[in-house]
Amino acid sequence: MPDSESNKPAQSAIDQKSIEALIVRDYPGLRRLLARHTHDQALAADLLNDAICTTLEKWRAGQIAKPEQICGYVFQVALNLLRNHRRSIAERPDRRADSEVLERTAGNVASMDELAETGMAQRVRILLQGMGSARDRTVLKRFYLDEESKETICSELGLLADQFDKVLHRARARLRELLEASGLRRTDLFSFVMA
Amino acid sequence: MESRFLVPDPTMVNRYLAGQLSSAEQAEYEALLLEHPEALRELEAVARLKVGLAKLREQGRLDELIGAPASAGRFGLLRHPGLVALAASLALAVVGALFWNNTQSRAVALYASLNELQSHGARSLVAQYTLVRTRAANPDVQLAAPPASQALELRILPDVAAGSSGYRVELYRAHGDGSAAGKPLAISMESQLGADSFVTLYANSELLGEGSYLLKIAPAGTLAAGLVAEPEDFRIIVTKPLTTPGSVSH
Repeated sequence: MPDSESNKPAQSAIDQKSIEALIVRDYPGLRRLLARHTHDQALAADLLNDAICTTLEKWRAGQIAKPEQICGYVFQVALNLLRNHRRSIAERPDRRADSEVLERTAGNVASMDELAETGMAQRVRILLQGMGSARDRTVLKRFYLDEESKETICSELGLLADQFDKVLHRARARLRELLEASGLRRTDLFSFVMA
Repeated sequence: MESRFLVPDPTMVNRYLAGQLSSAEQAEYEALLLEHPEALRELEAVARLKVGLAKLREQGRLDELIGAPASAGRFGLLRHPGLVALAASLALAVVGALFWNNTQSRAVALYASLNELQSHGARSLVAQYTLVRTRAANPDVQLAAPPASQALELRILPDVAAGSSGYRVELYRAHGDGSAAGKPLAISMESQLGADSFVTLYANSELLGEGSYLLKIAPAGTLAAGLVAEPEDFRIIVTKPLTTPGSVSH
């Protein structure tokens, strides 16, 4: 039997439920980031749901070549939907929630998500404690949390571009080690589905 | 610089998540995400970093971890060359002092068992202290400095119940006003409540020279509804050592 034929039952096993389960298991960071950016759990869930549906349509239509591309496609779509949402909020000031509402909304998270975030905070705390200097930790905080530009950070902290890149490279390497030690894994959608 | 990452530009992944890429950069990165599913793992890693940082800030712990003054960088101090030179001189002096006191600056462990502490050098158990919060202005415990390299037992009665993740306990030197000074001298990450409702920890007596201390205990995880408990503080005053070492219970 040709490989494409033997794969058909496995391919049909890829459905919304299996993709959602895989995202919950392997991509809690991206899920939580969506929730934080929208300040709205329900909206984030809707965005992700729409992204999964869109991706499944493309998969079934043969427009996505390999199952291992599916999750990447889901998050591309989800992040694009998020960008569109942010643009529509920016253009409609009357639709912006005031800061107190955002704070309360951000606090209303499910306990499992809260545990996931606490776990992420612990890993990042270990990363920060392992970094050699307050300057390097400041670079990380300003770039990744405050989302300031490399140029601004370099200018204000007196860093060369190369020095900035080194800080990020070291942090990325260390972060990957920490996360892989705690279960950041290679995603194999077929194995996940067939398990 | 050689990189073992799929995306050589170390800023690209974060800028993608922040929506800061140009259309061309976004198309390039998204093509890479589809061609190399491995890139999705790095995307997830950066997302966890961003969420973790945000969470630490919400917990009020980020500034302490970063270790930089709140006004550094963003509000112009570093734009003044004179201040930069002054800061550099002070930094050299601080670095010198820290180097001299290197062994003092690293937090040591508080141990869950006497055996564990003794395997790290302490000898016999010489004192047991029970810490219960009081409303009085007096310290929660006052003790004479114990002899060096002996084991101390600290029994702490927390007010707030913790879940399965237990308690985080930190011991600090204290300022005159009772507030914590600098970084913790000793830490225990996930101490469990005993059957007697106390958290019992063991420390090397070298931790407690003459002076004022603050012991902070808080649930290591979060409470219901995602709340983070404020730490409970126990004040400890250590006075001059006794002339005759002996077992003391307070």
